[in-house]
Amino acid sequence: VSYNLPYSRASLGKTVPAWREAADFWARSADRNRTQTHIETFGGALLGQLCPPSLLVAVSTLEALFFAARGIQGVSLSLAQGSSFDQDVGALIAMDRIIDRRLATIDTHKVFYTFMGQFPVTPVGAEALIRASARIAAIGGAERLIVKTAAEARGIPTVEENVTALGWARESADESQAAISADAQAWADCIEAEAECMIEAVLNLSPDVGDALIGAFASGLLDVPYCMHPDNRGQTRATVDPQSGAVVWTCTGALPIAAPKTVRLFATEAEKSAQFERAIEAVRRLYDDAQNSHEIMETE
Amino acid sequence: MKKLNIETGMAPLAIVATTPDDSHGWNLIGVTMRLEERGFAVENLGPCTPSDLLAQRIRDKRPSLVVLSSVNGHGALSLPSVLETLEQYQVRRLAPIVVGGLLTTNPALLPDAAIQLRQAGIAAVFAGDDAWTEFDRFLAECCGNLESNEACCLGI
Repeated sequence: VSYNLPYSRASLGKTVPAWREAADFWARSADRNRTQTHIETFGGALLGQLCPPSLLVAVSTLEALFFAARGIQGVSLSLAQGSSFDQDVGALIAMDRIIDRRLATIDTHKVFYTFMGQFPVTPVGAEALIRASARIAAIGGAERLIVKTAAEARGIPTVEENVTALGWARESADESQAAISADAQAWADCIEAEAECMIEAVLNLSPDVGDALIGAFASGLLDVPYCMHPDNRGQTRATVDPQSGAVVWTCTGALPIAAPKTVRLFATEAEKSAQFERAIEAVRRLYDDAQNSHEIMETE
Repeated sequence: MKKLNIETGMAPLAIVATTPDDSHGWNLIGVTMRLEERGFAVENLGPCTPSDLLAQRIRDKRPSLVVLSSVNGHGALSLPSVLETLEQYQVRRLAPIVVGGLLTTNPALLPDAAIQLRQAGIAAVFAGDDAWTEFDRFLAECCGNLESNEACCLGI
């Protein structure tokens, strides 16, 4: 799902059986050779941005359950940095609770990705965003962090730029306090509840997780905002809430969760593209404003 | 939504696509929204658009406008082969084709690349800092043309 929907035109009806076959083959050969199998879902990214974390956690978990059912012994569950520090910490905590509940029989491992959308163009902004991602990963208990570099906004980084970014991340992760804010706790509860509703509704479709995933996209129980794949219903929408700075639903389509309270964000048709572009640029603008970057560095 | 094609009462169709090697999709969503706000019906063919699919949709749907958006930095290199495919299907001139996005990895190469794309028959090139503003201006002009039912003249 997580590679198919963003990058391929192939139908889930074709790719799910292919993944079943590949996972079975790998699990069997690893068994024969007495080696360990470990695979990472990309469910924590989907289109990389503007997807509320409850859906990211749900898809990561469902893909992990799919692999576990095929005999894969270890799964990395991923999550991409969003637009709010507390929401991202909450998402990692929610993922932990769901892993404990549903994936206790396999080896799991949480991976956090530094922001994948429009990156700050200023060196100070890029550094602040990378450092924030390292602190989120540390506080949220991720085992691994995939960093970006200060070159992200303009092109391919040099080895030196990569080393510098790794240094910032190491330093910020080491310095971060383990204390989880009340807002992050509240996000964790909300994300966990929404993700559980989606996971439960999908698993109820079929005893086979692969068939359940196919059915879930067909019926809209899973529906990735802005995803153009033909198997995705395309009835959900999300934006960056100007007040909280978090990624929030503006339209939940047929998802098995409560309709958003923030529908007012899409007041008129004519505001749609302006709102969309504000959401796309929200993180870059926040961190490129030197004053904000300074405050973020000082306070978080 | 404004109805632009006075004769049929139907919104004019724009096809939005990218090059076969570009997996970005957010640019296509942004372009689609702008076109819809200008009154176009939009068929968005999605990331990594196969050139054959683009050619077939132009042939079958006869759009008023084709917008190709690429942001991976290789558009200037990839677009000529897209145009060749459209030529093979004989749909190259059925609708004005405009392109935009981040078309070169080196900004210094953009002016020459834009000239070459124009020479290859691209109606307009929107790249660089003011790309969105220019694209909006183009759409405003083309909506004027569409209202007077001169879709075929737009931008060329």
